[in-house]
Amino acid sequence: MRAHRHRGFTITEVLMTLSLLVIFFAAAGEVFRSTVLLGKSSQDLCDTASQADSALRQLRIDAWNARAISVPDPRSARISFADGTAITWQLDSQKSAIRIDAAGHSQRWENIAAGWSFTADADSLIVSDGKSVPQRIISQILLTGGPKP
Amino acid sequence: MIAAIALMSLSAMTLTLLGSTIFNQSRRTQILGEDAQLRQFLIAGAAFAQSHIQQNSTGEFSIPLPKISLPAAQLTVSFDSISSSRVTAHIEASFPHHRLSQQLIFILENGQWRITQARLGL
Repeated sequence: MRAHRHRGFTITEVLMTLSLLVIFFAAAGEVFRSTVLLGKSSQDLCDTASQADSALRQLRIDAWNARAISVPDPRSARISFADGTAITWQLDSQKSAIRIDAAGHSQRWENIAAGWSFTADADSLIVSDGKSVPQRIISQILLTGGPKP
Repeated sequence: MIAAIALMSLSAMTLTLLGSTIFNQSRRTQILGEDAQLRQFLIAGAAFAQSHIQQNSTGEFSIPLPKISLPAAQLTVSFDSISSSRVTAHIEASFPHHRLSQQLIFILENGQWRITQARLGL
């Protein structure tokens, strides 16, 4: 009677297969981790950019109508209007930008103002974050020599 | 086989996310650039309004713009007289899919027209 032989795997084959599987799962894990991190950082970047755009948009609207712009310190700016009212913008230590209107109502943009500072020029407010090109925010009234304070 | 498909899906997802982030940021950069250009036009419109304003000014003016790389830009100034010493100017600057406007209130003081209010409409 002829014996039926079942050929198994050699230890070398098993070790090589296991090594390949380990490498494969390590790569898969890294790709998965990168995907999750990229998704999160992409979302954070998008949110921060959108918040910063919104704050700068409001600041631009305020400054456009300014009769006077003063910067008592680099973390705050005061924008005064022809009707005697004023709006104050402040940058706090939690990286937030805060707008306080004439009635005392405040509006806050969180986590956008890391490294921001204000300086005033003849007809504009300059917002700098210390990294990119400073944003010059112009007053239309001061630029065209509007009403004298 | 399933693991390979999962790995390829993850890679595709990463590339899609990366592509969408790059697209969003480039679109944002483009919009901010156009915004800055339109604000320049508004300032030019205000200068035009200040030099052309008269008592009881009314009507609309289309201001010719220099040829720039951005296509089909338009700038219009329209006056609306409220009284003999108070005139409103509405200035609108636009590209085909993007526009900005401002409203200026001029008051006649000592024979000179001065802007007392400038409302930026975004």
